[in-house]
Amino acid sequence: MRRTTGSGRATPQQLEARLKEAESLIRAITAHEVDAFVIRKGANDQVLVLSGVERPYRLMVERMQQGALTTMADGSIMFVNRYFANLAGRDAGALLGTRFEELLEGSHFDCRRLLDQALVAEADIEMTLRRPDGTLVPVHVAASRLADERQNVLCLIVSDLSPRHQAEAERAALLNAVHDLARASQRALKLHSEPVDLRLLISEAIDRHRPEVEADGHVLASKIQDEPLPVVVDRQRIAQILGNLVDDALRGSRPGDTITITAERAWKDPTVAMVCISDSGPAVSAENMERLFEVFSSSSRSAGTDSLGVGLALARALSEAHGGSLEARPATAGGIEFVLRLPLGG
Amino acid sequence: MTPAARGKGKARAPKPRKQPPETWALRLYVAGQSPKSMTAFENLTKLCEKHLKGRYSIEVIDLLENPKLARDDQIVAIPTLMRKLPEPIRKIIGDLSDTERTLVGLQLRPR
Repeated sequence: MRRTTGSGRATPQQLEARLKEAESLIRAITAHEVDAFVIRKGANDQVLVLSGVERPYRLMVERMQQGALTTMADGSIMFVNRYFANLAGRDAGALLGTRFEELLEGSHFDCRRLLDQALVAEADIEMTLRRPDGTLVPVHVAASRLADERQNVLCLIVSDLSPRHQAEAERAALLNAVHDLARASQRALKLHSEPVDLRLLISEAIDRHRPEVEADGHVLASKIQDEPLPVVVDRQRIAQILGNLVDDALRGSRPGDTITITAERAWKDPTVAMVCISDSGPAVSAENMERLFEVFSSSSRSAGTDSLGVGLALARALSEAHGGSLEARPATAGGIEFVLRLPLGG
Repeated sequence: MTPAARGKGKARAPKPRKQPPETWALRLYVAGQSPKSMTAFENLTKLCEKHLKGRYSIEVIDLLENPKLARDDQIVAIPTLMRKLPEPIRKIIGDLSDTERTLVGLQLRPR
């Protein structure tokens, strides 16, 4: 079946064989029985693979839990996977053709340097994505040149650093809480006290926590007396106390449960403001109620959460540092009622 | 496969039934793990196990690895199967999904 070359004449048999091969080639192509071709360019042979062959790889890239994109050397996006599109908060189709640096917060200089470096060797950097809604996403970007040397195509792998940053923030918050607790127990905690209406601090706390409470399917109710509740307190510390109490009420609640915040002048002692935060979650045993304020205690409410049992201990220490008190008792609605008492004055 | 049809492997004209006694040497040209290449390999091994059990060898040549190897057998499309032995050399282009056509092409069945 060798082809005759040059001007040599082919015999009828050879011609017939060539015709048959050509026919079977056409049949195989039209029946879609082949998916690659050998291309000859001078002395160079190449195999051209039809699209669809790389489908398994594309699916894998499409489904992986990391952002992946390919760009030209100037950062123009040629392909993004679904994960990256979600991370960037945009439609995958809309991203094609845009420049990677346009998706970033801050200076484009780092991005330019990353892409330039990637043409030579693997490079990586931490940067921040800006979503169209303005939210920022910290990411790690590793860039390298695709193996194909003929074109300057870069491959970028983008990892979401939010979980890591959040864990770091939580660790820092915990460290701070432990430090505060240690200082409070040595009566060395510095308060920046100022006269303020306690009702204002409570409504600020309600505004601050309402989104997370309602996101979890809980109901946030409040009942605050009409007359002012003048106190002299460290506003940040009071916010911290209220935040920790709401957090614990959230942990003890099931979706649909109600968290109630009330504030009034204590009727038994008119020199004291009384703030109650209660939840309608499952009842807590008397034994667990006792242990709520122990440091690193794991009450049944905190089981399975990332609570380390510092929040309530710190809340009580901060209350006492203000000359007040913090207690817990069974709530009429089911769960726990925290009672914060602060001296009125100012 | 009638035992009477043994012998003569080099006949040019198609014979009603022929069973060459020598080992069949087959060469399959593929492009990495392209779907059609995988299909062709699967179809080929199935077919050989059924019709040539114990007397065939399959050489798989990956042209993605070494495109130059396409020259010897003038391969244009992938997958392509070559029957190197018994002679004459036969070439079957495609994924071998049409078993009848493949058997005829390999001269394992009269056309």
